Amino acid sequence: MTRQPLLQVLNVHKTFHPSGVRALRSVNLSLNAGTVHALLGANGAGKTTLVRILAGELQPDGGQILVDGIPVTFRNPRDARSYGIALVHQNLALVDELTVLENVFLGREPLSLFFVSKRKARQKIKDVFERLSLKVTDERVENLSMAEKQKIEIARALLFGARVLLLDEPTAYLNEEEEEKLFELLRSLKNSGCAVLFITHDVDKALNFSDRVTVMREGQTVLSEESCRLTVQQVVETMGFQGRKRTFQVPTVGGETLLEVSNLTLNLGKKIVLDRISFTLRRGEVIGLFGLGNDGQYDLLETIVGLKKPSSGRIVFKNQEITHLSIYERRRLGIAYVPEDRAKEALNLNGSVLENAVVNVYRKAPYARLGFLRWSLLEQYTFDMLKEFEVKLVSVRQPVRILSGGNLQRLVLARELFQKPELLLACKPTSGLDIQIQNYVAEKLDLMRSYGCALIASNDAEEMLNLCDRVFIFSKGRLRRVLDREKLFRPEELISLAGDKG
Amino acid sequence: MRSLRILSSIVTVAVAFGASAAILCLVSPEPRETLWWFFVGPFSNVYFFGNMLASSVPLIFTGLAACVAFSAGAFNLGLEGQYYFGAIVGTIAALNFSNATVSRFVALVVSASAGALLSFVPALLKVKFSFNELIGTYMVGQIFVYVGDYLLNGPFRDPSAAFSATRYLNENVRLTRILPPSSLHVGYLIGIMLCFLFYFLYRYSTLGYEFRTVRGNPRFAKIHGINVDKILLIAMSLSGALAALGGMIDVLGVHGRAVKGFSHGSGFIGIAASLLASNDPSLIFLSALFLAYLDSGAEIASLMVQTPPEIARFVQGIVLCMVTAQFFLERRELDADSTA
Amino acid sequence: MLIQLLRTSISSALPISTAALGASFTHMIGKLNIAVEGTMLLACFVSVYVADRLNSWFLGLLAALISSCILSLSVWSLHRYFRANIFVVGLGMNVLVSGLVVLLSSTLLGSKGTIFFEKIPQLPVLRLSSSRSDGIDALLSEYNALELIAILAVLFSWFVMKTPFGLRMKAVGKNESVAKQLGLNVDTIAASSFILCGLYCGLAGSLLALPLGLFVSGMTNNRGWLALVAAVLGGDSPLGVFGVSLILGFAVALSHRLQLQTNVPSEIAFSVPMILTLFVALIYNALTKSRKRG
Repeated sequence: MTRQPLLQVLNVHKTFHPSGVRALRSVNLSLNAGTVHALLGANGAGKTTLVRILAGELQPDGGQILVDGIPVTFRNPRDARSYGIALVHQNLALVDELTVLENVFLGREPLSLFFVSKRKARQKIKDVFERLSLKVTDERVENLSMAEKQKIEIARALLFGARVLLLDEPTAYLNEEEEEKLFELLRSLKNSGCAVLFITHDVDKALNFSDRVTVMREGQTVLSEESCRLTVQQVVETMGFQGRKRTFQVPTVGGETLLEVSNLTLNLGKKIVLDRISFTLRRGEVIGLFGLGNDGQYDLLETIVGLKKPSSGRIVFKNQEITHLSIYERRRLGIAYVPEDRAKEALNLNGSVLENAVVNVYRKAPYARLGFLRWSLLEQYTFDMLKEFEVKLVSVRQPVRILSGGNLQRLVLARELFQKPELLLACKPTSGLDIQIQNYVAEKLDLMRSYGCALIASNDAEEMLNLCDRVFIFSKGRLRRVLDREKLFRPEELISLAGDKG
Repeated sequence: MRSLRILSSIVTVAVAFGASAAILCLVSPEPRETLWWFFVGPFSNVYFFGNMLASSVPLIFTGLAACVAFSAGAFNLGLEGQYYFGAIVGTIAALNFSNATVSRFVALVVSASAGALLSFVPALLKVKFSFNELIGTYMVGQIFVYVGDYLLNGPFRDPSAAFSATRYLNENVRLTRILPPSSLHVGYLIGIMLCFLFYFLYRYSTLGYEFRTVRGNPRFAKIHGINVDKILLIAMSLSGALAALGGMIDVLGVHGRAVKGFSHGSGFIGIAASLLASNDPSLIFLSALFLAYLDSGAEIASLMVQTPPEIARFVQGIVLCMVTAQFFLERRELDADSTA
Repeated sequence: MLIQLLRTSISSALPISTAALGASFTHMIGKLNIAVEGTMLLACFVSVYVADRLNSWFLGLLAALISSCILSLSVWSLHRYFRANIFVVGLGMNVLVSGLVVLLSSTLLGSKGTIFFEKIPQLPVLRLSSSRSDGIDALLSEYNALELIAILAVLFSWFVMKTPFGLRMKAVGKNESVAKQLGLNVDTIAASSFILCGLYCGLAGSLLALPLGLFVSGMTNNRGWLALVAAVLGGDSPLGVFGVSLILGFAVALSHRLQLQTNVPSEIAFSVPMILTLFVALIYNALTKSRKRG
């Protein structure tokens, strides 16, 4: 007897506008009730896009979605929820400033005579919270840990009768113990008839905790099989981890120390963001700063460039103490910075390509004379820069927002690297971009080694291994481990090392 | 995109015309005559025409002042107070000097400094304490309108005057009339010159680039070494100084003394002038002219046919409401997609 | 003496606090309605004009409520459907109304100055004790019907925040995209908050004009702006907004006192509320900033 799959995806495809990125080319997936399904794939394979379509947040360009064998269309998340499909996002859909109860019941508040009844809310949520070992408090969501926040979203989905639970990278912020509990929970959900799908990077976990595995690659489903029939090796191969084959340059032992960070501490309120960070960086080195979440790796780069003031500690660059210098002065000494948020920090989307390209040099001679800009020289500078970094463009006076994601990243890197900085601080330089750009970035970093060094901060294990010689593992603001490239790590190993306790 | 915005402005102007005509017809016992005086009156002779141009001068200055603030992403709502109070202290200071050149110089410098201070302080509050600059500039502006009123009614009041006003400035301190018998004066040309000067600076100076970048994305500017706080303070101070200069020039050119209420709202209408010109300094003298045209038409109509001149205020309000609206929205695909 | 001052402070504060509560609904969803001053002023005119014409203060109030709602919804619509800058539109409404009321008063009533409406029926007044007493009970006496409605309105706003609607307003203000994701109808919530704002501002304007039975251009005298400050400082809590507006009301009452009973020049007296408000806002800012840093 063939059971009707609870949720089925047939030949779905999706292209994003205006970037033109083909996120999904042909996706086929079957979810049966009472099973746990793992969705695997490299960055950019399309996993999140697929799951968002299933949850009703995005509309597919073609293909079919069937619930209990009946074709459906989800015009918005509410539609999907009415069929019992709920998504627990990676970036959780929670309002930080509201309390736990308020977040869970937002939109479906229990009433007592026109007023929101906290008592009824507490009652309703008791069982589910217990199951998830959550405490019912009046705390604001922003004060909770990532694990607790995740559980709140799951609780919300369960409370309102989810039959299909989709989880996007649920283990990203959990430690081992919490992970175990989560999978236990998923198992009990499966036993009560739900269909559970979780997205993960971790092949080991996927095979251990799921009944079925689907692998996606470049927008297509390439493998779908029962987990017991697969080996880790097989799956990793199918995922196509495309580490670059390149000659690995061991940094010269005698390379001069360019950056020295000693006992750098940053306290924001009660939170310890950076906890006595110390390390040195030599010319020719590219070091990765890796953490599972926001463990201080980005804050460290922000502190080095000057956006944040440390509570204590020193930063010395080229034998000069820069701990108290302004951002402008640090940049003038040769520090370049690629921020985390490309749209909001690395670019001025309201400006032209030219205006974006010259922000690091407009004050310097010969581009400025007596307070006036010489636009013809600046245009030439931009032109040369874009050419060297292969940014395709017609005119530099065009608004910058018409460029594609890949070209924008090239522009940002071009701007920071063209002046040959001796220290490059980059946050997630290849996030969300295709393989081409990743290779391109690695190339440029290689070229940098002859005159400078770099610090790359990221959450992406693949990116770390692709670009860096050594990796510093961060956890809760502390530098916990140093890994050398000499032993080749797999991304999953990196992630598990970062999650281990102590 | 550019053309769509101009089209939007044209719609706004057209609606303004339509609304004026409609109200005039409703309000006046002789609609046809009223319409003629309102729409054609300002052009009917040199006196009216020149006066219309002269009344656009305050709006050129306050419009430019608003534009300077906008060009760095700031909103100066205290222009009225800066204009009014700046001119009053400038006049009071100038009255102490008999030498015409010195007097003029003092007037301009003192008023500009006062205006700059009046907008610098709320700007400082914004920068240091994130204090909402709309409320800050408005309140400081209003407080100093009252203080200005006090000065005119109290310690510096001209005892021989019928209203609250200072003594008259010397004839030779005042600005030359360029279109007698109207009150049009060189201040008009000075205003236009300043607009083009700012236009030039905005496009070609390092400071102009910094203004533009702070406006476009302050976080981006900060990350790349631009001192955003400094830029905001400079922009706001400059804005206040320009507004105050406008008031001073109006006194020097038209009134000859500081009279209570002589600003009648130019500070706020200046914002409309800048927005109507899409914050392009080279177009401000035109939008200022349009708004002054509404004022003049209403005034002439009130003179000739006794319709209330406040029609102009009403229509200018409509202009403000509509000027930032986009009436021809592009049908862009509103996907909830994020571009990675 | 102090009791009398407190009593007059409460009366001065009620228009401001009513308008402040109205403005706070819009502040809560993140779209502060700057047009409060103009909305109040229009309500002043409409309430006395209609009350005079139809010989009923209640109908005057009703008319003021309707006109204020129309104004508020217009501000919202221009912003939502035509992408206008909400601050500029608010400013525009203020300017528009300042001209409109003079237009109306000169056309309909033939005068631009202070207009006294003789025919307005007296507002019913609640008398709890003999009016000359100096004790605490003097604080409770002599509230007219509108003031009582206003006090009820304060309570009502507190109730509103306890309903799902209040919670959803907060959510939309703090994180609109998550609110949308969770299926909330942001447009309906926003429009409702603007309607509430209109109702409150209409009441505020009527509070100012009807008891006095007169209208003069500019009679709101920047109270709308004081209300805005109270709304911003009070934040999410209606009680907080009310509290701040009481302080500002005190400032207004004080300024009247100064004008009438001292030699302080009237213009300086006028500026007292604004100066005090600025100080209150500064102190509040300083306190919250230091708390964050600590």
